[in-house]
Amino acid sequence: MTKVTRYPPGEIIIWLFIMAELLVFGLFFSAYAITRIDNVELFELYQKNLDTTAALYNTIALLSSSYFVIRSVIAIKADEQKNAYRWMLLAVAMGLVFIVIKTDEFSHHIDNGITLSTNTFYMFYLSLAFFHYLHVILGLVILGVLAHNMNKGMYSSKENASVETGASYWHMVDLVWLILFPLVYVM
Amino acid sequence: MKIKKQSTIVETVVFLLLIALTLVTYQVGKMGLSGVNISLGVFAIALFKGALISEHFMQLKHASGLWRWMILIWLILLGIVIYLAFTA
Repeated sequence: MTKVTRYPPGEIIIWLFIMAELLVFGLFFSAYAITRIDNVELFELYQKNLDTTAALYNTIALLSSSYFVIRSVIAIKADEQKNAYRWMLLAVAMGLVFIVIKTDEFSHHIDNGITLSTNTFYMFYLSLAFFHYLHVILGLVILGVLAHNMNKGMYSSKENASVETGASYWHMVDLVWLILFPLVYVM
Repeated sequence: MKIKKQSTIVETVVFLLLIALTLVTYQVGKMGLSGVNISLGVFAIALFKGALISEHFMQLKHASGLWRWMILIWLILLGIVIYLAFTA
């Protein structure tokens, strides 16, 4: 685990995809911050209406999920297929926790008549949060497939590129949320 | 086995540090602290957390050259944009 390799873990194509995704999210975050310059009072006012505690639970859920994924990767590299499978199931479970909490948050906004056109802050918040939410769903599908394949014993210490590829994508989803949480909910 | 145990310990410490830093960010939000310096401090914590994800969970600390730096560069550029926007 300590040796330096030329390439990042998993398939190279996923890293190109990750960088493309981060470029899009980066532009989104930048647009939010630049728009905020002329709307500081509006952003601070409506930011207070967001559920910071729900966002905290979601951050803990995604961090835990990422941790369980790396434990699964470590286990599969040690040829511990059963352990790898269990860690991956836990990762999926925590991802589902995120989906449940975020869906509840969205439904509260809908109940209160909040839409993209309510104001500039909500336009950014809802767009960013929903865009990220879709990435969590895609990530969960990937982790679900990996867990299914692990249960069938398809991966080992020598055959684990798919696991590392899926894991890298999931960590990217976590990384984006770690920026989104303070920027939109706290700052 | 020894390498696996070391990796497990390191990733667990990183995870606990990430949780602790998240609680700090949450507490700042709950206390209603505001101001440019507070915001930039909170974002600096987020960037550090992102670097931990890149280096440890994404395992880019084992990659060489630009591969290792790709996420870190993204974080630095984002930090510059946020700094400029919040101090404008």
